[in-house]
Amino acid sequence: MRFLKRFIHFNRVVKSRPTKYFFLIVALMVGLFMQAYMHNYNIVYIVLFFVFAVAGSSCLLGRLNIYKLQLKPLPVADVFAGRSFDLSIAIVNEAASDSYALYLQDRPIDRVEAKGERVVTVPKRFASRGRHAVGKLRLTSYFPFGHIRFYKEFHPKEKLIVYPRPKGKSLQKSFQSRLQRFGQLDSFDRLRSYDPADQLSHIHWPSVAKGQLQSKKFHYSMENRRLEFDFYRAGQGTEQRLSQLTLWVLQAYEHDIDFVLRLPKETLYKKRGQKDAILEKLALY
Amino acid sequence: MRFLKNWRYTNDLALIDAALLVALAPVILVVKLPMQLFVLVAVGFIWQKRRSWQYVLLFLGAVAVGVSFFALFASTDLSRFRIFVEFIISLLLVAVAVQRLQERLNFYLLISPFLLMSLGLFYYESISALFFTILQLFIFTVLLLHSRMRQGLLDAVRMGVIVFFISAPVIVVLFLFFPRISFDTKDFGFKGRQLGAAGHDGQMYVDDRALKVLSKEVVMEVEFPSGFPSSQLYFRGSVLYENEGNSWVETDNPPNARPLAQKEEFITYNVTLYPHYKTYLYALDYPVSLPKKAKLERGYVLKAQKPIFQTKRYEMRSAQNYRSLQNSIDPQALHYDADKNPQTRKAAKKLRGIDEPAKRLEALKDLFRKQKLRYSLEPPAYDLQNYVDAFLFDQRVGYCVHFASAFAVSARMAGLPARVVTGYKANMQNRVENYIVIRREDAHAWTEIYLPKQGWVRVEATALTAGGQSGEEGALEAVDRVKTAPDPWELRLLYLKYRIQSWVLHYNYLKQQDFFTKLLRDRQFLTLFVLSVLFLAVLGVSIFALLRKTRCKDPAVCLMQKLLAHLQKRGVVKDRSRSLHGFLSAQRDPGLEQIDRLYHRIEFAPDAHKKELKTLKRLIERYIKEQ
Repeated sequence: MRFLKRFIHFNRVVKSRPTKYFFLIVALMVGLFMQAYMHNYNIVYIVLFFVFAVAGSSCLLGRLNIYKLQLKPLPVADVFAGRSFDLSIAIVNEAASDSYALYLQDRPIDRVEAKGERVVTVPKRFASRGRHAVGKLRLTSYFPFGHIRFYKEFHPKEKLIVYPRPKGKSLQKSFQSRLQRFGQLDSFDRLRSYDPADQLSHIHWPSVAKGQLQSKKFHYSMENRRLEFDFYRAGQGTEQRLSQLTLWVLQAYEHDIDFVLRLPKETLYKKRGQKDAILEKLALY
Repeated sequence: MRFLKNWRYTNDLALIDAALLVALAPVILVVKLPMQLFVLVAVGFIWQKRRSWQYVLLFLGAVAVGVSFFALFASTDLSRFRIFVEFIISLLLVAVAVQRLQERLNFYLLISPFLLMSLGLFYYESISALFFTILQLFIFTVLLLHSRMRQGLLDAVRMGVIVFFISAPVIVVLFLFFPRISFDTKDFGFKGRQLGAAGHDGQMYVDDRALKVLSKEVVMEVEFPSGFPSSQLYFRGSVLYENEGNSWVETDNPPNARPLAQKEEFITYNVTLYPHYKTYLYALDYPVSLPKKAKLERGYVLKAQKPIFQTKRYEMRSAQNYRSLQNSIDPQALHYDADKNPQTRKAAKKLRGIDEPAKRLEALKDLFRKQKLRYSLEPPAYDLQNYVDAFLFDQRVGYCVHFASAFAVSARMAGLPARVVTGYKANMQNRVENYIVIRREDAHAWTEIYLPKQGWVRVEATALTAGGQSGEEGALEAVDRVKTAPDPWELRLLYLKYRIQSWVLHYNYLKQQDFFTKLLRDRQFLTLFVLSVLFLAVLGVSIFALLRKTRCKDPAVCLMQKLLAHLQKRGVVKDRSRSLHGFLSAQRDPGLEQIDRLYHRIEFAPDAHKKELKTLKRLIERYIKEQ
């Protein structure tokens, strides 16, 4: 009974569909049957039964190949609505034998070792912001002979926070006057990634020579002016405003500009390492 | 093994090449010389990667096909199925060569090895072909798996073995139970196979051309499905009436118009006769059935309509007790040369006084016994003018032809109709269970005497030698012992080959019916069969379990996996994210800590010694035992 239950589960978990090669095998078997039956050709009978038995036994091998594979989506940073991103997924093989000839969505994977795991990235895209389920993931196997496609569908419980799509006027344009530096350049702070708005004199040429486009960041003597990102002044309509605010928040963090984000019922202050929390607020608004 | 292990997947074209090579091996022997040359040229083109020469190759292929089949255009050979198959094979070879030259894997190229293999099967049906086909299937399976798995070839071989073994019970059951129809088996045989193998023909000499065959080459194999007969087995070849001095020759024998011998106590047996290029079909005394395309001639001589150029299998029935009566006796059966062998004639004349033919025959046998004749395969030279006298009264040494000939001549002189029969007498040393091999060295000659009430009676003149003490049977066994005993291994292998042939290659509707009947009637057989299938299934599952599990390559890791499995059974499970050191340390078990220290030393210390691995093994085993 236990065995039967397990067998039913085994067949329910791993589904199968014939491929074009399945029909080729059927045609081949018909041909072999004709050849064997006409003259009682026993070698041909053996070949025919071999093809039949192997095609049948491969169903077992194919199912076993992916039966004990599990998918675990790994945490992913900065997912924005309308933009593709790579979702990293760990394929965990809980079986005592290796699994071969796999596809996660369309991404081919040669082997996942027994009791091991393999991290694979699959492209993903969400159209809207908010909390989204990872969605259906399909692990397919063409093992052992490719005449049957075995697949296992996963519906991971993990949810992703999808931030609003960063869109609108750049921080430079929106807050041009506010962003003018006050005071004199004081001292070198650190290197940061290049921004097209940077002055030529701020480009760090030794880094450029090494192949990294970086700019020098300086302290200004009177720089600690805080920008105000106001929800209502950020554009027309909620989604447009959230997109604008997201862009500003990202650019502010990038250029290390202090800001305060005023949402209708909440005010958020820039803090180091809090970018994701602020973006999450915008995503779930 | 290392070669297999290190052989990595390169590309599918290389695998197709390997499959084509395996599929081509038997097919290349089938096609004609121009096609063989074309294949060679094509291999050269492919080797040189002359992709742009595809039209040249196509042209050469067309020429090769044209030359191969041009001569057959107006021939009756075209009506033969084989020619069409050969034509298809030739076209396929051209197509495959052109496709392969393109170095692009396509559907047609993918299925071509299997197509070539299937077409090749039209030509071959023998044990070698059976084993080669199984090998081909295994190689195709492994290559296909290798293409899918893209790992070392050894992994594919391992998986191939699994596939083979788990499929085996299904193949066996399907093979035995799949309904068959009663068509004849098409027997193509290997091309250019088989040498003539006969120790017997339609003549018998008593001079230096005398039949003395020492070859152990197999003439035929005989199986007695319903039990091995207890009597000596005489396979009739030809019946010789005409004595031309030192030889006996076969005359034109009219067809036997009389009904077959008295149908009592039949022996049923299957004969597998190998090619001997003559028309003789051998059957035990006296045949009561007729194989297909065969005729029965005077003296119950069985002949095929055409010479035997291919292995012939036929089922026969013979009557052990028979009375072969004739309305009139052929005068040839009493003919002898009155000018020769005066001594024998004189002795035989005395026997003519005995009225009762049966008693006269016994008296003649006594005459032979009194001469204390000796059996030897190397007799001295005889006086060929009077060879019966020389044999009976002077040299007294000879073998079957001398005995049979002398007895027949003497019987005729004594007024008893006599004829010489040549054929084979089975050597019981060549028997395995219900099966016996007849070799060329078993060729034999004996005499038949006609007695009015009994008809033709076999007289084993050769047994009138050393049989004085232990009877005729003992004498014949002594004669058999003169021949070198067969190698028991060779005999067993022959038997195995025969069983495979009869149960695999020639399994048909009738055999299937017999098999079903036996299954239904014989419970012991049924049990044995079920147990055999179960054994195959268990073997398949065991091999599946044994080979499918991935073996760990690092011996220290293998030992630690054993330990972890043991701990898991006890409910102590290592989290995947946790390090082995962290896990073992957290158990706060001195035994585990010791194992942990040693394991990490073996794995990471540059001066770790092999002996330490043994220590680790001992420690782990002790820990598991103590727990």
